[in-house]
Amino acid sequence: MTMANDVFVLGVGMSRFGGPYQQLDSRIIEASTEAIDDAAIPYSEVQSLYLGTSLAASTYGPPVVKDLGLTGIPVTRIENASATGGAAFYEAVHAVSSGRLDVTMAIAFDDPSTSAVPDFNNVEDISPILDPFVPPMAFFSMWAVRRMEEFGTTPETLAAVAAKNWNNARLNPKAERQATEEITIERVLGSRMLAYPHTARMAAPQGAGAAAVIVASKAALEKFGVSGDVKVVAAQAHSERYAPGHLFTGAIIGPPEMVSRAAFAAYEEASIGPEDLGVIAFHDAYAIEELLYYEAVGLCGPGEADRLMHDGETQLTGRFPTSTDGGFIGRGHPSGPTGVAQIWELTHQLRGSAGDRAVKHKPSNGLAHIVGAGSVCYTHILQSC
Amino acid sequence: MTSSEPNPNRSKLPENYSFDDSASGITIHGSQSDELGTTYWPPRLRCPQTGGSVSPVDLATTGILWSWSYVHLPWMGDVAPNGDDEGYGVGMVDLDDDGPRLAAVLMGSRDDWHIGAPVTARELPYKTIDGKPQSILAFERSAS
Repeated sequence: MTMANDVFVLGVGMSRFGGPYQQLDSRIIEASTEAIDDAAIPYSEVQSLYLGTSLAASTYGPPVVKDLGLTGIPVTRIENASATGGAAFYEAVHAVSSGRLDVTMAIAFDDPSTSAVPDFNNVEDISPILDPFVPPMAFFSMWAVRRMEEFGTTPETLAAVAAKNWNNARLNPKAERQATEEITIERVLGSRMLAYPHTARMAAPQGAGAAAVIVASKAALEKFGVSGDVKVVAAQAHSERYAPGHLFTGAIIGPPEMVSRAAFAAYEEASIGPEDLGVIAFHDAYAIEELLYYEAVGLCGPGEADRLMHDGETQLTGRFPTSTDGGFIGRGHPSGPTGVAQIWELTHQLRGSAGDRAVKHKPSNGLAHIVGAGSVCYTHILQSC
Repeated sequence: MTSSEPNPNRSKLPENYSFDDSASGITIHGSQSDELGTTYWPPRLRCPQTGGSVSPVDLATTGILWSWSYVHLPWMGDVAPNGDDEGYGVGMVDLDDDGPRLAAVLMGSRDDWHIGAPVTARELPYKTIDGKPQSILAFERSAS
């Protein structure tokens, strides 16, 4: 699907990710009002609401957003595992792009302490398809061991990816992980082993959080008398295609082919190439993912990701700054809101309002990539105007 | 055909849908695309490539280790695969005879696990529920 009409990011907001818990209502309202204030329009102008959550109980969400205003608009809940926030944003964007609506809003949230999903530690509780013995950390670690065999990737390179994201998070007041001193490769390697070769500091924390974004048509911008400074130039949703080696069990993510296909479809839609990207948000739940996705989205060729990392090209000062807000590893991954938090970060980087973590070379284009178990992939490209 | 009538082309999943173990050895139940011949695990209701029919097939119980890891978490059950409760191995295995890839627990020690190593399916008891032993499908390094 491609976009028929221009769509602009009008406002973004998010709560800090992490604890305290059991306060999700206030986080949702905090993120939403921040987005409404940022957009500088009254909530009554929002014509449709897309609520993203992958962990909340079935009726949670719509009653909370009543506090934004009982305006009678459609309120739709969306769930797509880790990609939930990306899916909510995608639907909000396409509702405007199609010409059906002029102003829509995506609000995504989760609090794992109130999770309604099965207990993965209780084997009797879950379907055999959700294989409790091969959890996500095992799945991605097997990707890493394979990569080490094929390309000579070392645990030090995975630690370098994680350290970069931890240190970017130190510059993001909304990040879950706020290290008081620089995180070194040695500290990452020295943390508790989760699943070889991934240590705890190479994996995303899962705290609570909420994030929100308002998008609008060009006609809406004219009506409000504002000039959009960030435009959505590509919105792609993909799922897996069959290939030998396809897995049908477990909380799995499909092969990087799906990621590559979504990214290059987005480039075509945006009429740019990977060389035009100036900031990238990845699904870096585990360090190996970010490394593999460098190649999958075309930042470098096959087998070149390790060099790209060690050359500093993905640092804030490099050609392709990645996970600038800390990514999953530093900012955190509550699940539902993560994809909208990526849009929050890209918007600030493209506007030039990212503060201390602003990338050295002001970007014109930013890419947000997120995947969800099952598996699905959402890729958006935002462009400064 | 009305919606209330059973679709004769629709396959049924076996009761024990993925594997079983008997005195004659372990069996891994899969599906085979009637049109393409491609095999899948666990069994599918339709061919994921064509949407066409599939037939039950017993898959190879040996394969090649595509990758592995060791999960440092308490074992989720009563019996640890390696005789301790520290953690357990996991692997992706490409079954022989052009079979599918599957992810499962690995038995044995880390010294046994190398990409490309031949492995053999095993039944791994992990828990007893209401007096009945529960097992999962696992793999271990094939005897040389």
